[in-house]
Amino acid sequence: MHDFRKLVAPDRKQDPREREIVGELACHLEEMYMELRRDGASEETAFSVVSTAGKRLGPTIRRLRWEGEGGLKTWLRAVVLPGFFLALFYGVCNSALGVVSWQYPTLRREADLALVSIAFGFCASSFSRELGGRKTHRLWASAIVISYQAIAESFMIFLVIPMELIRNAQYLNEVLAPALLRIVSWDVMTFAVALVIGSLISVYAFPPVLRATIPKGTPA
Amino acid sequence: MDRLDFKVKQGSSEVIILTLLSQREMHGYEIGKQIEELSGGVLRFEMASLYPALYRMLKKGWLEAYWETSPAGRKRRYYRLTKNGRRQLRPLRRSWRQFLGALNRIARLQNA
Repeated sequence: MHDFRKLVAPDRKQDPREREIVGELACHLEEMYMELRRDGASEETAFSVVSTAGKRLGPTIRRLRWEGEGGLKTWLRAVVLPGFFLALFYGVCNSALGVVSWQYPTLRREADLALVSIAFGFCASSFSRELGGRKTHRLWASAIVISYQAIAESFMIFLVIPMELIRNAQYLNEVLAPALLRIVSWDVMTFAVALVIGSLISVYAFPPVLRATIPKGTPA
Repeated sequence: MDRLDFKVKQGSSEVIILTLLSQREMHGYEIGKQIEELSGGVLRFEMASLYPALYRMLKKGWLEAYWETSPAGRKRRYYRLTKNGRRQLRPLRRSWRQFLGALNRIARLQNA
């Protein structure tokens, strides 16, 4: 008989709680396997279907493992950790792109950053899912990534620019108003839209639901 | 009928699971199969949505779980309703009946 526990969590040290979860999911796979065999699937086909299902259970185990924990721990693990980790990298990439666009002014920094934002939003959300995060956790993790940029831009919009406006009121129409418009339209909206797109792609295109289908009447 | 591949929302999963377990104790796979069979294949709980729902209800104290060895010698983790879970079932079913009734009146689902 196959060892279904190894399919669920191969070669991992487990505490008693995780052992119980793994045991229960292994029983589920075993039942799945037996039903496939009863429906006439060959041993090889049945085991292959069940193996595919077993290999995708990592996030589910972590989610179940942490279901018993308090909400704060889950938020720290599934939101704050991936969010800040990716925000750090995002900051580095942002600065690097700033340097590159300074050297090569023909490059559209906003477009590059929009793509980077999409990628980072996606990564934060996926990272959160791997750590057992639900949809809300994943969206918040993505939101944290933009916080770095949002704080910097908010500082500019609500503090620096108004002060400049007061000091240089005579240039308002010529220089400062278009600059303000540019910052709002590009530096904030672009990042926000890009991050939302990135996190939505991750949440909806790759939902944390096991979609392994068991074909009925699989040929023997 | 085509299988509707959608995530059953948390509220509906609770009323479905509680109703099934009010009839008899079952293990996870059995619950999933029962849902699929009784809904004519329309509803399907994947492992990644079934077990989190069960664990949530365990945490709320609506269910309790225990391991038992079947006559065939296989250990399975069975779930049963607690008194608290049984108390939750009636208001849950009532609110779902009201919701579906309202939906039917608006969308005329019976004529669809």
